[in-house]
Amino acid sequence: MSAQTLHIERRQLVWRKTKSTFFGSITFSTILISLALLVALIVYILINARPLMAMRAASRAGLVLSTMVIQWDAKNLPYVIITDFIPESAAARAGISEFDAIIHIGPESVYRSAQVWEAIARLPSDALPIGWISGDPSKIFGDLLPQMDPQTGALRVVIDYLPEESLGFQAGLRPGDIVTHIEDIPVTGARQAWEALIVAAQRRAQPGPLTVQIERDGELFTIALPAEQTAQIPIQRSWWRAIWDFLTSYDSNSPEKAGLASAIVGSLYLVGLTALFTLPLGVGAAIYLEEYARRNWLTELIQLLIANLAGVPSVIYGIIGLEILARALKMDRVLITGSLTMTLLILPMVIIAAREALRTIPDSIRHAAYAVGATRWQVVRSHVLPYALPGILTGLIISLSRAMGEAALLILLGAFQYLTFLPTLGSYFTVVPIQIFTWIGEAKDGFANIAAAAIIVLLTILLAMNALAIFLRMKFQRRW
Amino acid sequence: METTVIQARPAVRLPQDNFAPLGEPILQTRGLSLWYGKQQALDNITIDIPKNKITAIIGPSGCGKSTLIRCFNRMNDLIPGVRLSGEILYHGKNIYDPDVDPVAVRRRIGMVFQKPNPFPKSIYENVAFGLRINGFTGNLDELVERALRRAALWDEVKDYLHKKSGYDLSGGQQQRLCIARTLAIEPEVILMDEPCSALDPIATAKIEDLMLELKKDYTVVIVTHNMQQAARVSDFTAFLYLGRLIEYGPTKKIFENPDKKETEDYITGKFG
Amino acid sequence: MIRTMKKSTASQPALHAPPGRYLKERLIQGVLFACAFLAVVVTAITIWIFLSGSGIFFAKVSLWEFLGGTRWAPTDISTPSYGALPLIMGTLIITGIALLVALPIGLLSAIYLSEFASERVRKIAKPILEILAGIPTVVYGYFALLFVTPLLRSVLPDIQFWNALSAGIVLGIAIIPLVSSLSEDVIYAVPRSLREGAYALGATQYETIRHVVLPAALSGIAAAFILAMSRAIGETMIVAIAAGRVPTWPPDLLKPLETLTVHIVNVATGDAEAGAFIWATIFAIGALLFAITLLLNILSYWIVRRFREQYE
Repeated sequence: MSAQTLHIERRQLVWRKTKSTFFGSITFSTILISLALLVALIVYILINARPLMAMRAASRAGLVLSTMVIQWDAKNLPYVIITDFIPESAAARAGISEFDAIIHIGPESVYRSAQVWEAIARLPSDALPIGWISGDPSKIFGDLLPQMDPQTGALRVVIDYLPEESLGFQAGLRPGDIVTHIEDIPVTGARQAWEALIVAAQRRAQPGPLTVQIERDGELFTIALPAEQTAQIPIQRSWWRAIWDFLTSYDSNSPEKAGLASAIVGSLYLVGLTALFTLPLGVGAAIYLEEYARRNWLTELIQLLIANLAGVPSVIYGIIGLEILARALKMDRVLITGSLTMTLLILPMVIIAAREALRTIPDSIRHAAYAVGATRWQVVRSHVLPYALPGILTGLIISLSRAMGEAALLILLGAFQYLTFLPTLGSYFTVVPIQIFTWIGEAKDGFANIAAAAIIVLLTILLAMNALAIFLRMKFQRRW
Repeated sequence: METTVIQARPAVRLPQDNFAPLGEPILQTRGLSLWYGKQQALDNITIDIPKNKITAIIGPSGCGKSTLIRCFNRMNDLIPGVRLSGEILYHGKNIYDPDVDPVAVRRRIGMVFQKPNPFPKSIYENVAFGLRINGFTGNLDELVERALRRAALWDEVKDYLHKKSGYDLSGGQQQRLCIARTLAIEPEVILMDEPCSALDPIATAKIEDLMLELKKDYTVVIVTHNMQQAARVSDFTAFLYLGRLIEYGPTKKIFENPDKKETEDYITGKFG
Repeated sequence: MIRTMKKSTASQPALHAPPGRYLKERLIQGVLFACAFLAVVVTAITIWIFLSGSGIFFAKVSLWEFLGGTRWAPTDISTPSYGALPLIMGTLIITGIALLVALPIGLLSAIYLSEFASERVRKIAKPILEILAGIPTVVYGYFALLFVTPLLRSVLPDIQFWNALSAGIVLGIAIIPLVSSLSEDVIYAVPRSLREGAYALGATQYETIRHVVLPAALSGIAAAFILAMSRAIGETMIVAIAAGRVPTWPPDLLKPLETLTVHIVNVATGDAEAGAFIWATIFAIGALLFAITLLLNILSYWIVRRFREQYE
């Protein structure tokens, strides 16, 4: 071989080796992609769940919020109102009541409920400086009456009746005054006057009196109207309290009040019952296939069907459960129906896992037991089954964690419910994944956040289940 | 009835010779052939196992000696695809008759395996299991102790019967535990399938001593590939080759003056 | 030769089973068999339900309209229409996107784990995939709707709130672990001797994988892909959350669409009364879904068995 060809070969070799290394790093990068996705997913969910603490603190202080919209010049101007009056709450004591609009938190204008929660989360002390405008316009303007101006024919708004304790009266308004402008916004109607107050107040950097232009006896006056009231509301911010509240309250139309209690109880019931049904059936089938079955066409068929049933989409099981259990057997779409159907879904997985566990028990153990005169069942019951049990339970827990996260099947079985009680065996129910699904579908501010919080709860439960499975495997696994 | 005439059934071909005048037989095979699927593992074996003696079965690997011993307590039933013809008589009763329960057979004919296979339970439970499932009532402790004593294991394990698992023992102790487990249910015959192949020489010596001790009360059948062991412990030796019984007789005769050329070749180490 | 022998009747042991034992053992075996036979019963019931349920549907709608029609409007009271093509195409599009994401990443991960990774890296890398596999699909749906879609919008400003693209991508992420673990199993099962043969000829690691390992594992990898496809076709929640629930024709990646599974969810969460004709549609759709996934699963099962026989 000449030096020339050797040289070329060496160059080729370098090229081939480079290609190999390059390929290796590409395959490695896919692992990094998976890791990055996992991190992104978890970080994103944690970030989204963060407002939970402030939401809960706000709702405990009586600030149950909703973002509303004023339609103005073809624009949608959002503002925040109190949607739920909670007597004895901090907000109630400060004089805030239902439908009041929250304008400022400290020196900031707020437009959406999420901003209120952000402000609460950032608060340096436990007192929330809040500025609001009463949701009852009569407390400000009394009764406003739209009138036609007899000279110009233009629409104008007149104070028809004004009680003395109203803010307007105290600021100097009197019945018969024609309200023309609030700040620079022309007033065209009774409701619109209130909305103008909101918009004008939101424009101010901090709470303070708004200028109202009135016409009294043909003369124009400007009156400073302190429409926005302010107070310091004590607020208890505690993650523990927030988590506890979230876990123990029922679903609600307000995200800051909605909790997971029914869903968690439903999920635990469902998974517990499913375990109860699956364990004997799954282990029985696995024992039959591993310890009893002869190799014949029926055994082959059963194995094929089990492998296939493990891959059937869960909605299909949902339809079967709905049709057979809920309708034909008239069991209705209740918890027990759900768990029976769930059993169908995870049974193939449990059988496959249990068979693998049974297969790890060496034949020498079986033979030893047979040799002292044990029957097949005695061999299984006294030896094979107990020794395989940790492996079987590990497989069962892994399968149950699949049941824990399953939503599609239970949607068909009626877990899609608005529940404000703890489910029992024969009641309608909901579960955590479906509660998440429901909340994701809600448009209201805050539901995406509590959905994220519920996801964290679900992932924590799954993590605990998997930790238990790993513990069982570590503790009891035997090398034969 | 004092004596019984065993009638040869048409299916059973009786061997022409290779019978040795033995003592009172406890196990007898009559024209035993066995197939794993299509492959024949035993070919027309007829042999008498004498009572209260040690009978060794020797032969090269794959000659069918383990298969044969597993026929004696119907362990081969557990292997799918096994077919068998001929008879095995235990006290004159064919253990392959349809009215015979293999579990009851194993209760009377115990077995010790090649690799020690204690249960992953306490020493006590290992021995007591056989007693429990066979419905022994009364003082289990006493029976467990007696079995362990007879297996010459009692002194080594008496302090931690419940604390140590069978797996915590050494290989030789494990094998004696397996023997104790077999003895506990008082079988008549003990089958040993190369019981020392996984043990060191010292442990092997202990088991061999034990076998000689057991001979007083039990019939022992041992499969071994170790010819010195067969020569040391057994009273009778059967030589199997390619699934056939080549020669059977008193150990002394087989080792010193075999009739068949194959036997001699094997004994002298020409093959195997 | 017929021998006579002495035999004492007194020592004749009882070799028959004690009364009741045989019955008890058979009873237990029967119960265990029943557990295993449940698989046959469930399959039979499923097939029967779908056949009888679809019967009602196809008594009113022709098979041709169902499989060929492009307008799916079962809730339209005045002019209902039952063309499932939008749903079928929706399913195929979502599955296609998912496989485009999952197959390369999953296969390359499997190659890395079985061929390149050191034991230490494997111990870290495998759990990452296992955790991804254990995350419930509603969580993926949330991720798709609220994270991936806004991310895609920065590149594709026209993308709608609900769209096929993000649902498909995230579904692909969700099935990466499935592709990877199944492929790893088959790649691992390729005998060492084959690899050694290639190395002995001076092949680099890449050449060995490319020309020896992958061709040898090809059928097994194909089975893994088929299983992943079946899983993607049957996936419900990610699509229901992120792809919207509107049957669209012609389908568009940037617009909402509906799949076979999502239609079933729609009916179940809708307010249709039991007995309304719309319930019959879920049997026709379910039957189609069941038939597709069953075929794919059997195909994959069969390929894997052939593969195992080849190397074991």
